[in-house]
Amino acid sequence: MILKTFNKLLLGTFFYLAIVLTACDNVENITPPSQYPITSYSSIFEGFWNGVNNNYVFWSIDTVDWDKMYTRYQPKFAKLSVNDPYADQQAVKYFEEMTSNLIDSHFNLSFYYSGNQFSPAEHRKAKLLKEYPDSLGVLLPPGFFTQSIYSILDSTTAMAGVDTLSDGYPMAAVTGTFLGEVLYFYCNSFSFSDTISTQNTLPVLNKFLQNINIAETNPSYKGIIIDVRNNRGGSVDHLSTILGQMLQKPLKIGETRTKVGNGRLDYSPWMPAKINPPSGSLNYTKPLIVIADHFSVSLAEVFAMTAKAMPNGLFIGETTWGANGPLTTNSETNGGQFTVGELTSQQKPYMDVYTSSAQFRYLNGESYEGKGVPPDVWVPITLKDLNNGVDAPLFTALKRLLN
Amino acid sequence: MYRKLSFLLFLFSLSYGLQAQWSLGVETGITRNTVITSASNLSFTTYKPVTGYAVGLPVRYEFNNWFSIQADPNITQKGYVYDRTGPYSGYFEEFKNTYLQLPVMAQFRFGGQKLKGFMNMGVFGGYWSGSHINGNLLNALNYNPNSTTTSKEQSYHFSEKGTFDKTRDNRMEMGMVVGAGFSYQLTPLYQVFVEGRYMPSFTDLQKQYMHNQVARYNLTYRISVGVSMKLSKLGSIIK
Repeated sequence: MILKTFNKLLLGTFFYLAIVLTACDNVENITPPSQYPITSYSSIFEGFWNGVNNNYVFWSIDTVDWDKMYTRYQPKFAKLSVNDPYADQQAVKYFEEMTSNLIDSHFNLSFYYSGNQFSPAEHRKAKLLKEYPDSLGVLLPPGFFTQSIYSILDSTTAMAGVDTLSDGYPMAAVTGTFLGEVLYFYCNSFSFSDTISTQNTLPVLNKFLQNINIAETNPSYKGIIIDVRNNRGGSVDHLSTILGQMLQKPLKIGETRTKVGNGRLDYSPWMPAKINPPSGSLNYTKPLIVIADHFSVSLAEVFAMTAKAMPNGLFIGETTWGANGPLTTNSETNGGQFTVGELTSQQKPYMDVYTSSAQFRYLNGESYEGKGVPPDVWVPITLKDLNNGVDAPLFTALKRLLN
Repeated sequence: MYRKLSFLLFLFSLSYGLQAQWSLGVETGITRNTVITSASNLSFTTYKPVTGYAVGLPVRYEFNNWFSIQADPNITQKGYVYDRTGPYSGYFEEFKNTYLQLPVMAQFRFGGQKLKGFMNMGVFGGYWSGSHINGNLLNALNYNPNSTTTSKEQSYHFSEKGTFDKTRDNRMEMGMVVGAGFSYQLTPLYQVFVEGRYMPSFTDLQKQYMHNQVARYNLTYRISVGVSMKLSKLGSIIK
């Protein structure tokens, strides 16, 4: 009897141990988006949807219902056939619809097979500009800076350069002085690290950097203007190279956080975003004005934010584009940009998804992603002004510096 | 900390006066916890275990000399590390989570008069009461031109109290317990014991807040030592 009871007990123990030892021992492996085969639109959709689900960094503030996008579009993609020549057009249209309201203003889809590109921010702003042409500022013509502004700089100091970057972008830079009292610098891209492609524009930057010291020490100089209108941004080292020259100690301009896991809300702590001065920098104490407009993007917006953060700085112009999240490779931060579809010797991937690697918030704790950085002094450029040869933001900055 | 101690003392006070075949003890131990999750889509990333502590007040009712029911209110630290490897080695975030736990187990005892072996089998419920994070992560916007390293992005070191996210964090936990150990009756009143315990959680650390969510479950090993007191023997000593 005792033996029967003991045997039952032993059997019960084995069953219990079996349950315990197998409980929760496995969580299904997650396939990276770049390993989804491009054999069906369902597979491409799953790779894309899960890629955004795990890598997009703005889920804590973005109001797009991504789960609803899955429910709504998964059946639509399932109906598309890779044998249908018109299916890809429809697939691209679906991807555009799914992402059109995402706030990440860096977000961009590049489709390898159709060659299409889609930026939700550009799409939203193009729609708005169509209805209200003056609502978002003006896309300034290429010669506006290298010709119009160059022509009003002091002839003895004016310098301009134009290059074509390795990605085909026409880069421009201008420097000089106004009335021998205000030092001016303009560029439309922070790509000076590409020294091979900036043969004409890099000397312009170098001349400006040399003149910062003169602007500080020469009593006839009243201040510096850095103009980043229509600037697409660039690499973060320019913050130190340019603005860092004017600082003696690191300047905090905000905070960033990155993803630390697969969950939409798996974030690192907020980390200080700083501009660190290079050795040999000076303590620039005179006024610094940054002019930016609606087409100042990414690092150009950080220049505007820095002017707001500096005690002697001011941001004049328009609200910027709203693309503040820094970008790096996906492997560095386990978030941000990724590729959908398996690259093999026989085929290309399906698409590249370009998206921020980190959230950014300004010193006041506010995120300007998708909204843009507001200026200290709102001075827009209108078509009417342009046609009359009036550069209102520049004239406002000069009036402030020259009294 | 004060609230956790008060919780344990409150449970201790409930058992006071209930003598019969009751035993009451105190135990302390170390834990080794990790999370069961997937990092297969994350580059150069792995989750690693963390050593923590446990302190508890085991309360046992002995039906006979081989079968008891034991409840074990305790404070247990369960941690894990989100660790970067390869070229990102040195970047990590360590989570140390504190739980108020109540395992309830059936205990089976065997052996001699003084030295006995035992097995515990049961379930536990717990409340995630606090969190501390520390780590070193890549700081995306902190370029240092004076750095001598190849990559001039600076890292960010931190050590701070973790904050809970109402949408994401599941603060209630449940799981199973299997343990085995030895006890030695030092005196008619006091018994010392050592136990190894295995505690897989079957609740996700996260609430279900997104589609295709990657689950995270605690898996805890614990080794503890303690001493317990037979309350019936205490009664006869006082008399």
